Amino acid sequence: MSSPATEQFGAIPARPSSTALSALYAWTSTLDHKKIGILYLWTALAFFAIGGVEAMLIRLQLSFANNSLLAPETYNQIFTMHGATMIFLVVMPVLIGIANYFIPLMIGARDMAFPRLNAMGYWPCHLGACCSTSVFSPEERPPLGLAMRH
Amino acid sequence: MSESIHYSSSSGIDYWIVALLTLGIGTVASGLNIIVTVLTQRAPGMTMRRLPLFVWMTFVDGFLIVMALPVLNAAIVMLLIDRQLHAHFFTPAEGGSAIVWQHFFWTFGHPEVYIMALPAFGIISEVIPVFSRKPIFGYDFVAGSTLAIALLSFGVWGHHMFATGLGVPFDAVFAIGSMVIAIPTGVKVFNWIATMWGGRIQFTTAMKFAFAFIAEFVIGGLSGVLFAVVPIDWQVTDSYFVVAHIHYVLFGGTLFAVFAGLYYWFPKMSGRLLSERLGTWHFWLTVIGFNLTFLVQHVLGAMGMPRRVYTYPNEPGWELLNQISTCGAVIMAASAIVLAVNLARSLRSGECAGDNPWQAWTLEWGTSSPPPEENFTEVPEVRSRRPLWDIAHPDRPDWKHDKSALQTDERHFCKDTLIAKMFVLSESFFFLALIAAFLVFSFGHGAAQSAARQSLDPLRTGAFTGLLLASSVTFWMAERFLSRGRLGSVLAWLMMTVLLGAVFLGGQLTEYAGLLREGGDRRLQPVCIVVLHPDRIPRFPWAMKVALTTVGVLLLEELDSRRTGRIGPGRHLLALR
Repeated sequence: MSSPATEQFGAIPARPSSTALSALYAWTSTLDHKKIGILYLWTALAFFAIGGVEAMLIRLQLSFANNSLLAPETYNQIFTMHGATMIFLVVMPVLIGIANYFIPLMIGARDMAFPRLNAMGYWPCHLGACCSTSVFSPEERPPLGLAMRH
Repeated sequence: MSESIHYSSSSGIDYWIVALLTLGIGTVASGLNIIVTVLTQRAPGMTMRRLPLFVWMTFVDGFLIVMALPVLNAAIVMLLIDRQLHAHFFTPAEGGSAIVWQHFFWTFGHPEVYIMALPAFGIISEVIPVFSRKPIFGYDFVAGSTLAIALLSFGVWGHHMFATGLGVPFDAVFAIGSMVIAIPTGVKVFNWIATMWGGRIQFTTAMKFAFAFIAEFVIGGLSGVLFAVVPIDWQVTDSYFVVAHIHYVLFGGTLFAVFAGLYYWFPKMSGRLLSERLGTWHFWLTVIGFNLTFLVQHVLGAMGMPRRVYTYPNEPGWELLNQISTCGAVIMAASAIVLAVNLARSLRSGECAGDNPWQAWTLEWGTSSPPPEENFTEVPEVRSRRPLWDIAHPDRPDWKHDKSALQTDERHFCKDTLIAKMFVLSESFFFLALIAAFLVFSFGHGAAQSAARQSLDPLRTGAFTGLLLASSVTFWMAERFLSRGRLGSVLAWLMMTVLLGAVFLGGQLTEYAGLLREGGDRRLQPVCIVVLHPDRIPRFPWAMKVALTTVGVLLLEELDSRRTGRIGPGRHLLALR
């Protein structure tokens, strides 16, 4: 933060001194399309890591013929969730996040047409994302369904 | 127990269903907002034909979301009813049809492919002109082909189902549609290449990812066209060839574009540049790892290795090819770590970006980085597609020779009416899917037909629906009399509306009561899950606790905001404006 360039430009506003709770409040109650966009992007990044770990497990299981690193039903669970995670919790949030951040900026608007509806769009995404990780808890056995099938 | 419970008796899949439904609702809300924002919030002079291409494509994407997501929502509602209320929409043994599930899934699923691809095309259409130092070649064609893709995307879902035996006429229609949709996509690729042609190309990380996007997406697109040829599809269906294809489209396509967008726009979002040196490492590790992982899977698929199976016999070459693929995946994991390091380092101590580090021309670069609360202190004047170019080069601005300059401002939309109409559009697709299911089953044979007739009396339901629709008419009449100031008539029509609504609700109650009575205890399960299965409540897994904690925090904040008089989350969520 102390590089001369920063001081010279001074373009980056310093974060207001705040407690963790008020920061949490600011982020959860925000109506700013830019902050909501960033929430989407962090969500996508977190699930990109989770989906990536799932992908690595799939590839490790397949690195040898007749491998038994993962049980068949665990494998089914993991590749199903790899697909669902990457599509619904990475690609969709990241694209909607970018759209949220940049559409108003690119058309010269102050915000989205309905800022509260916008916030309401993010929080179901957040809850759904939390809910989807529940399929992995040890006592809730696997979704044997395939993402693309019944 | 119903058959579907037998297939997957865990509640894991129920969480999966609820998660998808929740996500679906949120996504539709975002789609509606995007459409209305683009139509109503543009700055003066920002006509539809001057929209940046990313905005154009996301706008079209909004329509795809609003029309396709409800079909998935309807399908998973039916699946949930199958599992919790013991219906048999998708269980063949009880007269349902798994093929119907596939139809619903892919009626959503193929437009979904384009929902994920169109914004990616948009990002590439922003990045390539800026780093070629040229305006986009053939703006009208790039924008127009987006509309063509959106329209066609609803007519090609059958190519995911050739192996189910749709019959020759259907196969032919879907095969032709799937080949035709490659044309507008190809138009875009040629336009991007023509944009680069003769440009002064700057090899930034964003531009490198844009190059790689074109290369990988063309490979994915071409293997996609192969599936339109029915005999080839039959040969490679459910093999690793399909896995290779989908990853070339979604990773080599969408994610490469997202990386390009990230390196391009990160300075605007954070005020800091990402390291180009780490970016180059990230780029090469991603490209090499990606192609190692997925290129060999084409070969594995052609050799017949099935997907979705947890292991494979040691056929000649299979193990080696799989190990190459795993090595590639390890390299990709390394590339993701490089990206994470790059993001973290830049956020902590990255070089200051300034307002417009790339000398780009669209409005987002005309404000500070990151932008202030309300985005602009003053919105730059928009007289062409490149407003910042016009400001930087007053001697030769675009609007002097830009045809879009001739266009006057367009009609104005009322955002409230517009979003209501879009919501109705979205809902109509939801109900269309439900009605389609009813028609399929009542014109089906045997068990399905009798079950459909038993569960729903079309005459009774139709009559109640008629009353509901009539209540909209009476409400509209009340509104008309209100504008004329005749309060007596207003009250009469309002009373009529309330009466019709009450009769409709009563009808619903009797219908549901009948359904619950027929099914006995089992149908009451979801209603009484707390009473009948108290053992399932404390076993909420950890992530549900996270979700519940989030709700708790929101509630606390709500209480806090009541005390301090600030705007709390409740007012955000309840008052939608």
